[in-house]
Amino acid sequence: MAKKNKERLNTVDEEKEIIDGEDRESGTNGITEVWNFFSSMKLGLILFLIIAAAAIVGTLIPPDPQTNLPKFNIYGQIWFRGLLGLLCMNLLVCSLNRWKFISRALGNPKARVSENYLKKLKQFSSIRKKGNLAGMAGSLEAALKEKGYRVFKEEADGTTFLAADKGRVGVLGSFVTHLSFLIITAGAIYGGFTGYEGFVNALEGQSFSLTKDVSWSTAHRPDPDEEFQVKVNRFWIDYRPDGSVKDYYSDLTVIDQGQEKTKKVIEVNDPLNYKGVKFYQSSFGPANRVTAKVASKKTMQENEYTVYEENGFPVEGTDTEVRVLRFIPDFDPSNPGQSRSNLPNNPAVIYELLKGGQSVETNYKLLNVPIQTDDATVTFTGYQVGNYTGLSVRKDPGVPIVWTGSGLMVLGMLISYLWQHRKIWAVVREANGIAIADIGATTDKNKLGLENDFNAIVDTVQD
Amino acid sequence: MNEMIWYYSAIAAYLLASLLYIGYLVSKNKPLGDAATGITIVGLIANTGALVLRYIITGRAPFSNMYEYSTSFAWGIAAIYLYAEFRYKLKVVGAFVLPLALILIASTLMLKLPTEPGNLPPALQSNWLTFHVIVAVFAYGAYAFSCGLAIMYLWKESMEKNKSKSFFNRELPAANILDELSYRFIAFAFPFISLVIITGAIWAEYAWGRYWSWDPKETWSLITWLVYSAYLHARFTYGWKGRRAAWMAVIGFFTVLFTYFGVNILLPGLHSYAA
Ligand code: HEM
Repeated sequence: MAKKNKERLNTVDEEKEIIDGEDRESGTNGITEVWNFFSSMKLGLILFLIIAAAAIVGTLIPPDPQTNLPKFNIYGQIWFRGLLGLLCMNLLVCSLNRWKFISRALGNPKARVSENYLKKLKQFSSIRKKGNLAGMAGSLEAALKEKGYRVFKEEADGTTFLAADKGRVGVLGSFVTHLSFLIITAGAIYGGFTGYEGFVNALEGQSFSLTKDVSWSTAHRPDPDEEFQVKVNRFWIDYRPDGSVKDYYSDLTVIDQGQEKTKKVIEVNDPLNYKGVKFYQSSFGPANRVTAKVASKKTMQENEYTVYEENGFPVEGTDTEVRVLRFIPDFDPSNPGQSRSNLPNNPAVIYELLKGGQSVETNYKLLNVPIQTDDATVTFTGYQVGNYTGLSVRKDPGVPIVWTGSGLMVLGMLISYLWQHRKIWAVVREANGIAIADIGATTDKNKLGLENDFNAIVDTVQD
Repeated sequence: MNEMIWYYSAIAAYLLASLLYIGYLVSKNKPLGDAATGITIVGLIANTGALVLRYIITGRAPFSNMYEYSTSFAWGIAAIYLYAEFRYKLKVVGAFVLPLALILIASTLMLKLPTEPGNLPPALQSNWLTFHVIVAVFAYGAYAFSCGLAIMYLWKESMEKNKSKSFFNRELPAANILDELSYRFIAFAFPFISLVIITGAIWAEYAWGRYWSWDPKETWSLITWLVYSAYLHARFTYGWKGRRAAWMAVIGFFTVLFTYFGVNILLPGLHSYAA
């Protein structure tokens, strides 16, 4: 008797039980209860809504006008991460629980079910027709096959049991989708621990070192043995005819162990990737170069230097250093800090003199007018107007995992959409020259589609 | 300027169609209903014309500013609506859905935003962005439709409960049909909204080197996704239907609208330079 009960349960009721994720059979001991709560859809729903609410609050926090980032970053808080972690745990436990059901659904359906069970199904029909059992079972089987169902048969006690199903793989859809969410999260966490992110302003014609010159915004940094250099050959901007910016470009060369490895002109939306480290065109700014002749009175030697703004050069044989603060193309003596225009009408240089590292004078000088100091004659002889390029530097080994997860998510949804598991059972008997078939059908999705199949099959057999 | 004639025609058609559908809802006069459908088709053609001409003029997908987005989203709503009307023969729904298309397409005028083609800033010059917006058009169209159905449901359900003898209770489709259809369109849209987020992430990875940075636009699309995910799971597992489901469909569409308007207009962020 108990066995019979179990058999009857082994369908809709059981599916429901597993779908809920709440194993009703297991008693009331504490651990089971916790496990059940963890795997319950109830927790999942609560988490969906709490996370959504917290995310809303996060977007309403006004950004800091300086950094353009929110003043308080909810998404980085431990409790917010904890909620996401809890959702993943919930999903994991729920998927593990459901695997029993999925693997059973992937196997062949059991043909022997009771008529009582069939009568409880939404789709149920009883056919009575003159004829024998074999004829009825045969035409049912043919009708089911016609509709694309796989049919399984069992005979016992003068009764024929038929089970038929199609679209079995459909049950994998939600499983793959759920797994994909866990994979995406795993990729994000892995990337967070192993990746790094930073920023570098690089000047045309100069190289920068990955490990020394980039300012990192993440706690994790590249290892010293990841070192290589990148040379910025050129930076430029493309304009449209109306003067708006079309795109920004940097021409980069990677130098690893003293060897040129690759070259690429990057633009917005098209970064350079070398050994998983990516360089993104991110910003730019003016950077002018000034050429200076320095005649040292100590060594009687003359040297020439070309330096960017904010950079300096030494006076040979002394502790004097000259720093170029700014280049001004159209100098106005009544307003020395401001260029009158961008045209080189009256080029001048604002400079700073340092002795032993101490600033002694800040002044300006027009081009080709010498500066006389105690120990040198310094003349600014030329200039080049240019830009620096701002590059984001990022390595994220988690990205391929995230993309794999994203692909699986789409795949899982596609599977759910293309295949729906439909199951039909029939119990066929014969009495006094009349064949009787009780037919029932069920599906989790697209009830209308099943109904159409069902009615077509019943009609075919009845005629 | 030529192109704007198509745009204004689409607005006029959606306005007229909204009124005709409301007229049809109130009177059940068949010619009125047929006229409403006809005018909606005219509106969709004009809407398509406005988008195609914009494409021809600029040589790129019409996704560079609020005018182009709104015109595309209105197209999505009208197209999904017409599909559903022919598929399910439910005309009166137009009275609830067409006004949404009208609000979207006319929002550019109401907010006094520019209609001229914008220049695509470098960050937006990506095929992923085009794909991103196309899937969004379908997702948002389906969500607008299910929201219209949910509003109808709430009205109809309360009339059914009160055993109202009113004309509307007799003439509107049965509440459980409205409920089921609203659900179907939400289920249809879920893969699309997921693709919106995924393609957006891929594009952000190319443009900024970060597939996810919790900027307001990204976050709001995640919120939309969470709300509809809650809706679907509650329905799958607990069989949530009826009023609760309908309210969630309405709230879900509110998050869609906020992602679109609210974020661009009220909340600044990385995407604000996409606007
Ligand atoms: C967090 C991200 C989640 C995503 C993206 C997601 C996605 C989905 C999708 C797309 C479906 C429908 C599949 C189909 O139509 O076959 C689904 C169904 C389902 N999900 Fe989730 N889900 C998530 C979380 C959860 C959680 C936390 C639980 C449980 C605690 C859960 C339990 C279920 C169940 C029981 C079903 C119905 C069974 C089925 O249709 O196969 N899901 N989910």
